Amino acid sequence: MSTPESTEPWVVEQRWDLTYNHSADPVTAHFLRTLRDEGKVLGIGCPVCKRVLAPPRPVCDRDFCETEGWVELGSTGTLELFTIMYLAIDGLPEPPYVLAYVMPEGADTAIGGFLEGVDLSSTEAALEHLTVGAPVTIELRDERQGRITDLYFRLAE
Amino acid sequence: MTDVVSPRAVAAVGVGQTPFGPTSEAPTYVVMLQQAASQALEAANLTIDEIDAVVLALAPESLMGVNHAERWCTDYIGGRMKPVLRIQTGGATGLSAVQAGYQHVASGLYERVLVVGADRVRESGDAQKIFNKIWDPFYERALPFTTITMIAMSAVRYMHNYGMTERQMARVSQKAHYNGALNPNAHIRREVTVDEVMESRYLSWPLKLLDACPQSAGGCAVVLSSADAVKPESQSPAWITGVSMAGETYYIGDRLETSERGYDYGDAEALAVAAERAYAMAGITDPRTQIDAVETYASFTPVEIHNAEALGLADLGTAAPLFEEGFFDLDGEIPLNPSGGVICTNPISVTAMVRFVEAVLQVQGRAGAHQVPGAKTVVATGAGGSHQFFNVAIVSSEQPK
Repeated sequence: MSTPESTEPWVVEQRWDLTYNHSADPVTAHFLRTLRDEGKVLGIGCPVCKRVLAPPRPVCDRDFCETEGWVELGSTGTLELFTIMYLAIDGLPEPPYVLAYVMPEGADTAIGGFLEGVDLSSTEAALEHLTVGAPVTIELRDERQGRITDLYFRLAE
Repeated sequence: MTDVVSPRAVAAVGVGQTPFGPTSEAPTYVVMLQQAASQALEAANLTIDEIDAVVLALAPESLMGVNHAERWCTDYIGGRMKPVLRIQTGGATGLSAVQAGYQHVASGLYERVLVVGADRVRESGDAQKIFNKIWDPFYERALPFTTITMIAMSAVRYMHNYGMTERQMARVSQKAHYNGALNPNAHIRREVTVDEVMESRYLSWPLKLLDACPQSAGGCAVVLSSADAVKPESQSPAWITGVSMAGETYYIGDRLETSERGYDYGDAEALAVAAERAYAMAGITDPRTQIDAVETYASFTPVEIHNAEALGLADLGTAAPLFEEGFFDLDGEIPLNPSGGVICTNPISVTAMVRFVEAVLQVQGRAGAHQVPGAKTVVATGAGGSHQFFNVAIVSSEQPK
């Protein structure tokens, strides 16, 4: 390579500003519509392994077959996974917040969501309440938009 | 699985790595490809004309910012009029590309294949915003999950199952940084103490800043050859004696029940599956005595702990104290990530290829200050898709029979 005359960086800024319109499959659409309109959280069964998948999907990942049979899930569940997020990321909510996976009563898989109502001013103090296996309630927002964030979790009293 | 014809023996005969570092100081994306490829060709004493096919390791291009970037890359990887294949399995990309190159040669279709890739992870300052886009648009993206929260949740599960402490995680970071300081190609070359790790700020509990990988830039390349095509003037061949891959279920919420192996989301079951297959291929029946060192893809410290178990180096749930005892140190029983690993260097598209290249350098005895004395059999692993795609390669100084 010939010697450049200047080593000053030459930087070109580019932005990607894209819009997508994702069409939900009928199973996913039914779950989100029922969540919004009726305030119910549904799971769906696998005819082969008999697991109840939540949130419901059109195909069982294990048996590679179509799922069938809607199940209304309970409003309680078990805290399976969580983390307290402290890192601010552009376009995402202001930290700190708790993200969690909860296994609803009647389901064999867990749903992801925000876990709200825990004082996060001290990590140590928050961790006295947040433990894997803790009982939680599945709450619904008053103003629902047909999104997974229409539901959220709270530690059971 | 059905029986297949025996694969031909395949060796790495030349490797190249650009020094890894911050994106702002790295060459243009395509230039790094060419630099790494030229290094590997030079090490193999080959010209681009002697290469039959090229495999490009390019993870999500939204990081480097050019869509369908294999178009732009082709001129810089010697792809003109050659078979060009682009591989993308997220963080596992680099080793998936090596696997594709291996299959090119092992099948008998090609004699010599160039495998090359690069990344500039901070080309956009929005890497975690991009990673949020790897979640499906209906159920999970709004939550907002990122690669950091996913590993944090796995660590929480592992802590709950086996009692791992944050201090044990910090010890992994201390080891990684000690080794990385010895590696001239590492991005982060600074020793840290366990206390420094403990005092660093939380990213996502229980992960702290010094439990985490950096966002790196750099290029990496490997020339693979059939046994017949190995030139005497090439670097001493490092043989691929086993290679395998396993994908895990997409939904993390589906991975919470304890499997037949006794694994759950706190563990790395698909890595264990991939390792079992690769070990069987390589004739490894007792990894604890037959493996001299491991380069494993662990973007956060707790991943290294559960990977050690998935690779059969420790029983399930027992690895964390072994790290504290120095079992996996550079001078320990089985050095884990002698290069400093992903905690010191993470150029995503090639991070898993760097694991392979470091394994090659180890069995060639050319790893320098982080050489494991007498290393003959070294394992390299990759992980991608936020702990969804796992691959394993076994590299040996001895040609398979």
